[in-house]
Amino acid sequence: MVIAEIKPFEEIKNLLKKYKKILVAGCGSCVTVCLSGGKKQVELLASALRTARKIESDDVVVGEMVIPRQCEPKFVDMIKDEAGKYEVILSMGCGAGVQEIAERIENIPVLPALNTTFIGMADEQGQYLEVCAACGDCILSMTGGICPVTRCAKSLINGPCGGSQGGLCEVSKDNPCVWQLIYDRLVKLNMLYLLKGISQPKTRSVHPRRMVREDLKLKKESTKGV
Amino acid sequence: MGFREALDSGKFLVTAEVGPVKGTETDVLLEDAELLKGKVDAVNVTDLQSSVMRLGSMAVCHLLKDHGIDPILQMTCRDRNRLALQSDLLSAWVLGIRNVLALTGDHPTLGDHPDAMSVFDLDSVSLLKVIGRLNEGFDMAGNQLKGAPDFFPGAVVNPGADNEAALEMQIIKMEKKIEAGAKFFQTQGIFDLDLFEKFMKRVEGFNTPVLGGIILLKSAGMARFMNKNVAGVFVPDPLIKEMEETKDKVKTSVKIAAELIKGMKSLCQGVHIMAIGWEKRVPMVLDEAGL
Amino acid sequence: MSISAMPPCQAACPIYTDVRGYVSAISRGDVETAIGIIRQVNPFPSVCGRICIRACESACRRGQIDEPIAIAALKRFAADQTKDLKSSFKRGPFYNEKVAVIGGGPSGLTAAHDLTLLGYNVTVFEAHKELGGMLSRGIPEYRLPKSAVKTDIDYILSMGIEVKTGMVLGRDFSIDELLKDYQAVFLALGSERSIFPKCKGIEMPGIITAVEFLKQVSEGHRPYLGESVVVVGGGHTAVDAARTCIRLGSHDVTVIYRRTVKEMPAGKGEVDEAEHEGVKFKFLTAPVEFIGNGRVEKVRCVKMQLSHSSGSKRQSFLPVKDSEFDINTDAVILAIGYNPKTDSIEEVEIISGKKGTIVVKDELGTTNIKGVFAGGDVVSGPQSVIHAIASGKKAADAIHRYLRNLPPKEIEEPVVLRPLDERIVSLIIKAVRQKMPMLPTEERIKSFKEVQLGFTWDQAILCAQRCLNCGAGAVISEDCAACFNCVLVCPYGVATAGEEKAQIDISQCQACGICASECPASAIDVKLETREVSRKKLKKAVETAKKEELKDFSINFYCQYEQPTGPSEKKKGTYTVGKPCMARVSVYQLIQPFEEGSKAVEIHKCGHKKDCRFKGCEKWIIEHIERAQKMLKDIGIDADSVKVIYEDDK
Repeated sequence: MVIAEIKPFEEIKNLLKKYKKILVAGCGSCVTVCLSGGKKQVELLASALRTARKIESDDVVVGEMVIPRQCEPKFVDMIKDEAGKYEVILSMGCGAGVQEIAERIENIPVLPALNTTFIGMADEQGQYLEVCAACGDCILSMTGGICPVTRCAKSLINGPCGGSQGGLCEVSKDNPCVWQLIYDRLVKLNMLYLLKGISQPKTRSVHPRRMVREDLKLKKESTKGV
Repeated sequence: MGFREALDSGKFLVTAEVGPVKGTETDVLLEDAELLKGKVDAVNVTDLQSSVMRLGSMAVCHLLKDHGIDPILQMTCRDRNRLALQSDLLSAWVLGIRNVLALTGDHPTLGDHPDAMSVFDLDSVSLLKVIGRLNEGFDMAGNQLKGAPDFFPGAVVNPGADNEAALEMQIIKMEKKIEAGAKFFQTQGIFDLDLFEKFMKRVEGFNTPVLGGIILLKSAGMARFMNKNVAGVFVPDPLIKEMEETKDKVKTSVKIAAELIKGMKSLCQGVHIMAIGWEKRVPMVLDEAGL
Repeated sequence: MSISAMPPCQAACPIYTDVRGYVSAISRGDVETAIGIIRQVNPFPSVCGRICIRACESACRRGQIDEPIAIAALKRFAADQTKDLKSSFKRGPFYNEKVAVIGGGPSGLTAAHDLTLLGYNVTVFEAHKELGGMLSRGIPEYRLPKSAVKTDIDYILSMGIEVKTGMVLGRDFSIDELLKDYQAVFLALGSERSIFPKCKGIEMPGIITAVEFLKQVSEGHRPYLGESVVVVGGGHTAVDAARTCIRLGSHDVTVIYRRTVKEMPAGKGEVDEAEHEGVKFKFLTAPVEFIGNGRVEKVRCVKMQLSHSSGSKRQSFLPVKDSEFDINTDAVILAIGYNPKTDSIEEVEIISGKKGTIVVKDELGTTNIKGVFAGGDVVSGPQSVIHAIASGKKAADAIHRYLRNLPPKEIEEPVVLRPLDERIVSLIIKAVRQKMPMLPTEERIKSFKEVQLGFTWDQAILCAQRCLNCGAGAVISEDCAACFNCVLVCPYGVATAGEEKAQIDISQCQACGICASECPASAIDVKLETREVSRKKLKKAVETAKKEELKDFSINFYCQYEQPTGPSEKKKGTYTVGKPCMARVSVYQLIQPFEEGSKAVEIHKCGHKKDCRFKGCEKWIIEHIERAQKMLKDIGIDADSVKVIYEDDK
C-alpha cells in the first residue's frame, strides 16, 4: 500500500499560518492502515492545531472529516459543500489524494499534511519497507518475488555488484544485499536457473505516466441511443 | 606488444593500475607510468574510484597511449546513461584506447559527493553486451555505425566474496559476463592463495583468462581498514602481524606481494597490481617476483 | 435489552434483568443507577435480593474462574441503600380502562405495577388484611424481614394504585360482577391450601400445616409446639417451619424427607444453615402413620430407597420393606406442598381434583373467559417469587395488548454468550468471593432477626468489580481498515483477522479497551464505556471547570477499578474523570483538554493500590503519555503538563 508519514508539526503549522478556517481531511484507505492519516490522526492533528493557535492567542476554526478514499473523485465531490465553508483544506491523504482534491475543488487551496514516501509493506509493526517502485515492467517472476529495483541501492537487474559485505549492502548496513536474498529464495524454490539469463535493461517511462484500459473504456458509439 | 596480443600469446600477464588525481596535474601520474613502461602488459586507469570526483579515465588513458603504454579504460555505469556510455566508448576508440574494463561502479553515497544522482542505466553485464554490439558495428538501438570499434573487453570478479551465496552469485555473474563478451577478468586483491585456488578450480572450465589482484600493503592499519570496509578483501592475521612487526614496511610489503605473485603463477593467467599510491614500487615487486 | 449477545446471567433470569448493568453501576459506587436498572423490570428488589432462587448465579461465567458473582446480594445491597427512595411516577391514568387484580401477592402486585406504568387504572383486591401474599405470611422474618417487604410494596403503592383488602373472591364478589366495572381481570390468587399425606391419624390434634403455622407466626403469635417437632417435607417451607420452631424454643426438631438432599427443593445451602441452628434431617424417610392418644405422640416412618424400575427412565423412591420405625414427637408440621383454593370460583376453567390450578391457554395467562387472565402460583402451583413476578409482567403485557387490540408480542429467543474458552479463563486474575456477613450463631436462634446482614460498601464494590462484564466488550464497525493493529495489541488474543476485516469474539472479550484506543480508524467501540460516554464525561469535567472560571485548572484521570468512587483527595481546580481502565485514556484525550485551556492533565499511576485486573495495561498509558508529551512539545506546551501522579498510601 502507499506509505506516507506525517510532516513535522512545525511545518504544518507554518503552512497554515494565514488561514482562520481549516478543514482537516483524512483518508480511510492506505494512510489509515499505516497510522498516518486516519480518523484518529485527524482528531489529534485538529486538536493540536487548535491548542497551538490558542497559545498564540489566534482564532481558528478547525473542521474534521474522513474521506473513504481521497483518490476517488466521487467521494471528493460529496464533500464539496462542506469544504466550501473553509479557507483551506489540509489533506492527510497521500499525494494522489491531495491532487485529486485539488483537481475537484478548484477554488480552495489544498495543502499536504503528509510526505508520501513509497509503495511498501509492513515488515514489523510501525515499520515499513519500500518494496515496489512502480516501474511498470515487473520482473518479480525472475527474482523469486523480491524486487531488486527498489531494494537494491543501484537497482541492478544483473546483480549483485561486488560491494556487499556480510550479506549487507555497501550503502547501508541496515539493508541486506537484496541479491543475496534473491539468491537464497531461488535456492529454496529450486529455481536458481533463473539467475543465469542476462536480463535486459529496463524500459524507461515518460512522466507523468498514464495507464489506459482499452478493454474497459466506454466506447463513444455505445453511448448513442440504442 | 599490446595487451591483447600479450594475452593471445599465452604469457603470464602483468597489469598495474593508476588512479587519476583530483585536479588537472598529471605529472606524478605520468612519472609513475614511465617506470612501468615495458615492465607491464597494460595499465588500468580507474573511473572515479570510490565515487570520488577526479580527472576522468578516458583523458588519462589517452595520455598513457601517447607515452607508449597500452591503457585499460575502466568504465562504470554509475554516472552515465546509455547514450553517454556508447558515445564515450566511440570517443575512447578514436583517442586510441583499445581495452575496456566494464564495471557497475560504487554507489555515490560512498564518495565525497553523496547526494549525486546515481544513474545505473546499464549494469556491467549489459555494458559488456553494448561493447560487443558496437564492435559489430551497431549501437544499442540497432542503428548501423559509420566506423566501428574493436574493443578488447574485460570485467571483474570477486573470489573473496565473504559467504557461500555471494560467491555463488559472483561465479554465476562471471558466466553471464563471459556470455556478454568479457575476454579477461581482473580480481579484487587476493591474500589467501588456498581460497583463490579453490575459486580458480571452479572457473577453469570457463576458459577465460583471470588476472589475480595484488594489493600492496602500506601498513597494518591499512590491512585492518580494508578488512572492515572493502568488500571481498581479507588480509589474514599473520600478514597483518608481519606488517606490524616489521621495521621496513616497504620491504615487507614488497616481499608479501612477490610471494603472492609467485604463488599465483601456477593458479591463474596473470596478476593485476594495485599499488594505491606506491606505484613507484611496482618494479621492485616485479623484480622480486621474477617477472 | 440487547438480544444478540446476552450475558448468561440475564438470559437465565425469568424477567431478563440487566444484571451486568446494575452490577457495573455498583462497582462504581452508584447505587442510584443500579436500583434504577433493577426497577426497570423488577418491582421487588428488596425481596428478590434476599430470597430469589438465583438462576443467574448458576449461569454466571465468573464461576468458570473462581466463584459466581453474588448477584442477589448485590441487588439487596442496592435496594437497602436506596430504601427511602419513592417512585417518581406521578402521571395518573392515561387510558380509560380499569383493570382489577385479584390477589395482592408478588404476581398480582407486579401486574398492578406494570399496568399502572402503562397508564391504566388498577384496583387490587386482597382477601387478607395485609398485602404481600406468601411474602408476608409464608416466609419467616429471619429470612425476609417485614420491613423489606414493606419497602417494596410501599414503592409500588406510591405510584397510585387502589387497594381493597378483606375482599374475598367468591364470597364478596364474583368475576362476572367484576367484568361489569372492569375491562380486564387478572387472577393472582396464589396457592395456599396445604396438601395432606394419606396417612392414618392425619386428623389428630397436634398436626398442623406449615402454611398455617408460618402465617400465625407472621401475625405475631409465638406458638410453642413442644420440645420435639417433626416437620414433613423438603421445600423451603419445611425448612422455614423447622428453623422457626427452633426460635420458638423447640430443641428437638427433625425434618423428614422422602428423598435425598440432592433432590430437596430447599437446597443444600438452606439445609446447612438449618443444621447449623440445630435442626436435624432424616433423608429417605416418609411417614406412614401418626399415632397418639387424643394428640399425636409419634410418627411411624419407613425408610425409602432409590429404585430403578426396569424399562423406566424416571427414578423413583420406594419404601424399603419392613423398615418401619417410630419418632416420638410433640407436634407434626406438614409441608409437602400446597394447591390453590379455587373451588369457590365457577366461571374459570380449573384443573379439577386435588390440584385446583387455573387452566391457561398460553404462557401469557389467557383463560377461557374473555378479558380474564391468570398467573402466579394459582396457575403453576408453588414456584419461586421470580416466577410469580415474571408471570405478572407477562399478564400485564397481555392485558395491555388485549385492551388496545395490539398484535401479540413477538418472542425473540436471545442469543446467549457461550462459555469462556479455557485459554481466556487462565488469563483472568482470580479473586475470592466476598462472604456474606452473618448474625453470630448464638444470636440467630434467639430471635427472628435477619440472619444475613448484607454486604458492606467495600464488600459490595469489591464483589461487583469481579464481574467480567460479559458481552460489554469491543465491537468493530464498518470503518475498519483491516490494519489488524487490534490483533497485535489484544492481551487476550480475542481479536483476529477475519475474511475482510478484523473481528472480535464478543463472548470472550474482557472489555479492557486497549484495541479501541489503538485503532487508527476509530472503528472499535467498547460497550462498557462507549466513546460517546467517555467523551461526554471529559466534556462535563471541562465544562464544570470553565463554569467555575478558574484560570488554572487540570484534568485528572483515575482508574475506577482502583478507586471506584474517585480519588479520596479532591483538590481544588482539579476535575476528575474515571475510566474503567487507564489504557482507555487515548492520546487525543490527553491533549484535547489543552484546547479548552487546561493547564495540566494528570493520570493516576496504574496498579498503584491494586494489581491491574487486565494484564499489562500500564505500558499503554505510558506510551500514550509519551506520544502526548511529544505532541505537546511540538505545539509549544511544556511536556510535563501531562504526567503520571502518585498518591501516598494512606
